[in-house]
Amino acid sequence: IAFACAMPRFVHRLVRSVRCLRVLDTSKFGTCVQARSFGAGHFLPKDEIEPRVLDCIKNFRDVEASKVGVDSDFSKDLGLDSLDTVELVLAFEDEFNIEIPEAQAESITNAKQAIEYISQTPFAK
Amino acid sequence: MASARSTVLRLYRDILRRGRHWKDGTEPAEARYIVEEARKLFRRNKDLDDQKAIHDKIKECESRVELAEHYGNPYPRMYYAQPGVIYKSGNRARKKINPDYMHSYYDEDEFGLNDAKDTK
Repeated sequence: IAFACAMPRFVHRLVRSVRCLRVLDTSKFGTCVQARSFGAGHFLPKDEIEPRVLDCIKNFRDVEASKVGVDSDFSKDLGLDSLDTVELVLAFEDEFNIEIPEAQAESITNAKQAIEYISQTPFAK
Repeated sequence: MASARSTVLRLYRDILRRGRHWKDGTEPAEARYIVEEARKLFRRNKDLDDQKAIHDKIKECESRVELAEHYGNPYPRMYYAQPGVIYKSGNRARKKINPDYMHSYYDEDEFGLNDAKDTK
């Protein structure tokens, strides 16, 4: 417990990762997580999301790293077809451990929109 | 046309997702096969124009996905050659069994199955 108290962020992630626990015994963690309650969405900040998204795109096959920018459109600037775009969005899902539903996934056509969407997704890692 | 496109993309995403969670990661080779096969076949057929052909391919895709899910085996089913038929190049050819849902798979002729002529 003392170790956990020294690293509240770690504890919070540990708590979040155990999603099957419906009832959280907050008394065990004491003062560590008093500001956050289980169930309140934890959103990643955009400046944390942006480099990861851009890295995902740069490491995607067939993409030239120099052309990748926040506003570069997947099909127009990077030359990806719709099948590639589907794979790229799935790569984002993998990276951030989220699920992006159909309707939103179709609307993501550049990195900016992806960052926008992920920043609004709770429990994105 | 737009609805066929969105159906196809939905199927593609569906298959890639299934591949990712295939048997909870216990069979990575099969999962990799699913993803690669989907990629290969979707790209092979992506320039189709004819509505009927597109519809057939969609049905093919759905069939293969259902079979894979049902049998827990993503690989194509093997069929025995019909008994009594001997393969001879030229006149008498082996009657191959090519179910509807395997048309794309055999399209590339990597098994030489398209050489056979139907001798009815």
